[in-house]
Formats: sequence, structure tokens, C-alpha cells
Amino acid sequence: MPPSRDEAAQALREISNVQARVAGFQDYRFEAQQLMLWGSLNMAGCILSALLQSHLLLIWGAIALSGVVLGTRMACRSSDAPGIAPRYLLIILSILLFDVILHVLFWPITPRQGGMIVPLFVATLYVIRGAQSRPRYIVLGAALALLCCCAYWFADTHYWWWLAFSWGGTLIVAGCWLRRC
Amino acid sequence: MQSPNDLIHQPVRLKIMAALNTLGSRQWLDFVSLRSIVDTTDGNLGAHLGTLEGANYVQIKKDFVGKKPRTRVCLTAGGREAFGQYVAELHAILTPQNIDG
Repeated sequence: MPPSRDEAAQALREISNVQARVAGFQDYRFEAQQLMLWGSLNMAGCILSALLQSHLLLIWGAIALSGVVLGTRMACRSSDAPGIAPRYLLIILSILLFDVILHVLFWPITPRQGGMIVPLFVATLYVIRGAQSRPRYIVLGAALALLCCCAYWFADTHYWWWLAFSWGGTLIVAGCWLRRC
Repeated sequence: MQSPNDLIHQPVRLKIMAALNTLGSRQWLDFVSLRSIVDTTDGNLGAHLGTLEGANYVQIKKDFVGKKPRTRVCLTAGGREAFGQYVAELHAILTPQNIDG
């Protein structure tokens, strides 16, 4: 016997719910890989900055280049969505360009101030993204902003070490969290 | 009117098919992720996957990642076609001429 109209509507609603859940699941999985990559790179960058404070430009140039290359390869491997590589590059290069432009506009700024630009920008982007679609990103963005501001305000001589954990560490922990969802 | 596929028209199997259909062709989903999406127990999911595998709607692959066993599931071409037809039949039930009738 064919299902009633209500049963058919219920089944279609169920399909739609599952599709939304799978989309969220895939989104978190994809993001988790990127968070762990960029978290590790930023943590390495902050530790190197603490150890070699006269080579900041070289260190962060190398970190950005490594992130773009590795992240693009990872994005292409983990998603078969059309145009994933150009879209990924657009996002990453926009963040890097934002950082460069702010350095130019507000120069001279201290390395301590400069180190806060990308973390706070990324934190804001996650809060916006979370408000629009997936609530876990709000938690990630808020935690990132709070911990990085704490590093800026309270860590005097150990700023880069604090930032290594509040910036890189938060991204890594968030990556593990999203992976387990 | 043709009755929708009874094998798919069961709450857990419907969720399994819908989840796998969302993925691309030949894209595998691991058992743990599928259990989380479908929101059921290991035993229940395993039993329903067995039923769908018997109908050749899904393909199940078991392998190892290092020393850890891993089970992955994929929708077959036949399964994708059957699910597409099932959804079309559900929509047909909701079309105005069928509601009036």
C-alpha cells in the first residue's frame, strides 16, 4: 500500500534533514583538516618568532607560503566540489592581503600589534560564519579572539609563546573538536 | 500509483540512503560517521546495512588503517537509481492530482 500524503511529506522532510546533517558533517571535517594545518603552522611561526625575533618577515613569509601550498593541496584532495582550489586561494590570499594592507596603512606598528591582526580577523570571520550557518564556529571565533587578546594584554616578555598556544593551539584544538563531531 | 520502494521506506534505511546519496559517486563514508549522522546503535546500523547490501543498494568495504579496523560504506549505482526513483515517487504522492484523488 502506498504511503499517505503525510507519510510521504514526513519522509521528504527526513531526507532533507539528513542532507543538511551530512553537509554540516562534511563542512566540519573539511574545516578540521585546515584548522589543524594552519594551527600547526602558526604555532611553529610563533615559536620561531620567539626564538628569532629579527627574522619575522622571513619566518611569516615562509609560513604563509607553506600554508598556501599545503592547504591548497589538502583542499583539492578532500573535496571534489568544482572550483575548490581557486575559492580556497581567494580566501587565504584575501586574509594575507588584509594583513599586508593593515601593516602598510598603520605603519609603524610593533610586531606585537602586527601579530594580532590575522588572529582577530580570522576570529571575526568564524563568528560571522557561525552566525550564518554552523554554531560551533561561533565558539571557535570567540575563544580565538579572547585567548589572543589575553596574550596581547597579559603576556609581556613571553608574548610569542603565549600566542603560539592561543593562536596555533586554539586552531589545533578546534580542529580536533570539529573532527569528533 | 506505484508504491514507493518498501526496502528504502523504513526510517533508518531511509536515513542511510539519504546520507550516502548526498555524497559523490564512489565516495565512501566510514561506519562511525554514518552512525553519527543516522543517530542509531552499531547493531541496528549493521543490520540495516546488511539488508541494503543484500539488495545491492550499498557496498561495504572492510580494511585496516594501521592496526585499526575500518568499515566504509558506499552507495552503488543501483542504489542511487532506486533512491532517486523513491524520492520521485514521494513527490508524485504529493502532487495536486494525487492529493485530490
